[in-house]
Amino acid sequence: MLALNAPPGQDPVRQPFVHYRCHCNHANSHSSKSGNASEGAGTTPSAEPGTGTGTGSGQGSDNRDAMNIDDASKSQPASPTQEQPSSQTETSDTTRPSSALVLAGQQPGEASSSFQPQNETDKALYSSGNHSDTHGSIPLSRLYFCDSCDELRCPKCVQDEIVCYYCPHCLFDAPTASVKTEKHKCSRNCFYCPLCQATLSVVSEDPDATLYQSNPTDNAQYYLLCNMCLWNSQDIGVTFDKPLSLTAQLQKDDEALPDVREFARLKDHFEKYFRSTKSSLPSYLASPSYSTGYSSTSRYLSSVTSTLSSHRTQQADDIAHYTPAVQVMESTENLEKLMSIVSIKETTTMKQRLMALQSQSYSPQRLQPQRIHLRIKKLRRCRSCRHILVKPDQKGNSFGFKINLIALNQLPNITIVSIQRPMIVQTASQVILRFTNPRHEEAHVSLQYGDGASPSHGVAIRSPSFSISPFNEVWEYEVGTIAAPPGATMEDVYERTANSTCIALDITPAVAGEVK
Amino acid sequence: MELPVVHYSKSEYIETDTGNKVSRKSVICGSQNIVLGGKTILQTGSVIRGDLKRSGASNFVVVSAGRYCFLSQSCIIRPPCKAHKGAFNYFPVKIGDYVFIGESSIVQAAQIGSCVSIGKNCVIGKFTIIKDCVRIEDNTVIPPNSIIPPFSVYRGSPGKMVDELPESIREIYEARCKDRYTKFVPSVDA
Repeated sequence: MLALNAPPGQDPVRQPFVHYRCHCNHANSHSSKSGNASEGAGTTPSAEPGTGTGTGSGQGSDNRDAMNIDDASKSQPASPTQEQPSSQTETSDTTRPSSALVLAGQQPGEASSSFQPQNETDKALYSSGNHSDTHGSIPLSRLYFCDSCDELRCPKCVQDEIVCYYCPHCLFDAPTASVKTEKHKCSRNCFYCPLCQATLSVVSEDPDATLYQSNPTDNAQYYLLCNMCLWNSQDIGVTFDKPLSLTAQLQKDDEALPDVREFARLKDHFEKYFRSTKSSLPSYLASPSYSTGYSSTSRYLSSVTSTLSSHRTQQADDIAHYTPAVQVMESTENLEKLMSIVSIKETTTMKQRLMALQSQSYSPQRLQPQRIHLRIKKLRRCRSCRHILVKPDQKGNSFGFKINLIALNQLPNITIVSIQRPMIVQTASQVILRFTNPRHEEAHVSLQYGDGASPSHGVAIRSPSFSISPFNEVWEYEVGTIAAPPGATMEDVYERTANSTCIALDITPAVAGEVK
Repeated sequence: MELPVVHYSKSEYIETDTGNKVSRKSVICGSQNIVLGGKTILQTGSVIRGDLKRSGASNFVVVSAGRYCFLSQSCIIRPPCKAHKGAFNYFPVKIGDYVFIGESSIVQAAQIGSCVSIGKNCVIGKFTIIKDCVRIEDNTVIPPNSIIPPFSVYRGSPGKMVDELPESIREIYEARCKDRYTKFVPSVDA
């Protein structure tokens, strides 16, 4: 198979997107490095050492540009806003929340460019959804733009609400009312393989039977089969009479288990004591959609504490003693089995065990197929003004958006067109940046050096102020570069195409290093 | 870094009037059963098996691709087959717009949505349904009969979801595919 001969895992394609820093007050755990303070981080778009290995922390400002070059896809300090006062250079990234944005003659918000560190993908596995790099900068692809506040919004300053639940396998919308009772799992025929966590398919023993046969024959037995590791449910003795609503059939077996019955008995026993007081679970917690974020959790907390305290005082002695119906013996059978295994393949891996938290069996023969967890469609709101930034389609199978206010449509994207190689220390080499304007109006961009107005650290910006033509759909159909529209002032730009402008920067590396 | 400009020799590629660029060194079987939306690129060594079609039926499209698709070198598009009620049949493959398939990938999916990016050396099993806005990383093996929900990133063998794509990914992939097409230019000295 080609996959086996594949070259060793290379770095996945990194999104070539400029990173912006959001002005929200949500402190990023990554940005607490000491390097931040020394670089004058935060709003100053100075050359920040990008890699998370801490090459930049503590180093003097002289080497900043050298390290800037060390990291690929990093664009030079581009501070399009001139409104930022210089006093902000010392502050960390939790600055005041306003980024001055002027709509007409669109000056985009704070742009601090840095590089996504090498181990970003590893981090993504452990901190899912956290796409910021070590300095709290987030790629443009993940940012939103609130048009009523005129500000950038990072994923942390948006509030998520759940629109609907759907199963990632059958793509059916789960009715919101039954989501809680079904424990947020698909209630149809979707299961994970207990060994390899691929999805299982329902097959019939009878090779001529189809899945959706209207009148299944009596002796047609259906079972689950994993297409990846070829595990099938016949090995653990789980077969079905009908190919549909398998979870209901499995649930009946589940209910016969002694621990599930014991739990049901416990619940009945204690429920009558709690039912007498008025405090049942708050209704808004039972339904998955919250209208207000923080206020509901605070209300819930206060109601829970009041419930507990009232119970303790009134009914502590009212609860009768409960005798369990099943006596659990200390079983040494498991221990003996574990002591006698020869190879590691005879036990389950941690991942397999943790898929079934109730049983967590040690032997692979006792692993059961697990139902598939539901995924959600999220509605994203700006935290300050409560406007909706992203609103997905409510209708079941379509995954479009009714409202989608992404920053990509507002802020210019900065990409590196070319870097003159080889880069030699103390010699100027040219880096060409392209600014792409997504809006229908012309954009004016001004570049600033990191530490003020003077050209510093070997970076020379040839065109400190330029404009980018607006985006025009008609030009999409024309291949090739378009000449500058008439009437545009000729600044010293490298190249001007349909809705993007390239500028050249001369960089003189101070220190030899690796150019990625 | 931006995508590099890829040059190809003019003699090697056929350009149709809808803007499709098909390499002469690609293996296209049953080209009358294949439909390419405009501006699709089939690179050297890519294989599309349009000859594997359902027996008995005449004149229907076996492989249909959308606009701005990019099939990299040595990738294989093969219709999935199933033995069903004693009959052995091939099923059509429907590929959406703005789809990028990496080098040496084997794709036997039944349906691929729009704005999908498949990496190198991937194996997409039979009858897989890949919905819109999906990224499948390099060296992934997707088992047969799987369904990949939209806005997900899959990696590993068997492919598991590792990440979620942002809402802006549709615009990103559209722009990237268009950019890839405009940067695929004939070399001047050809």
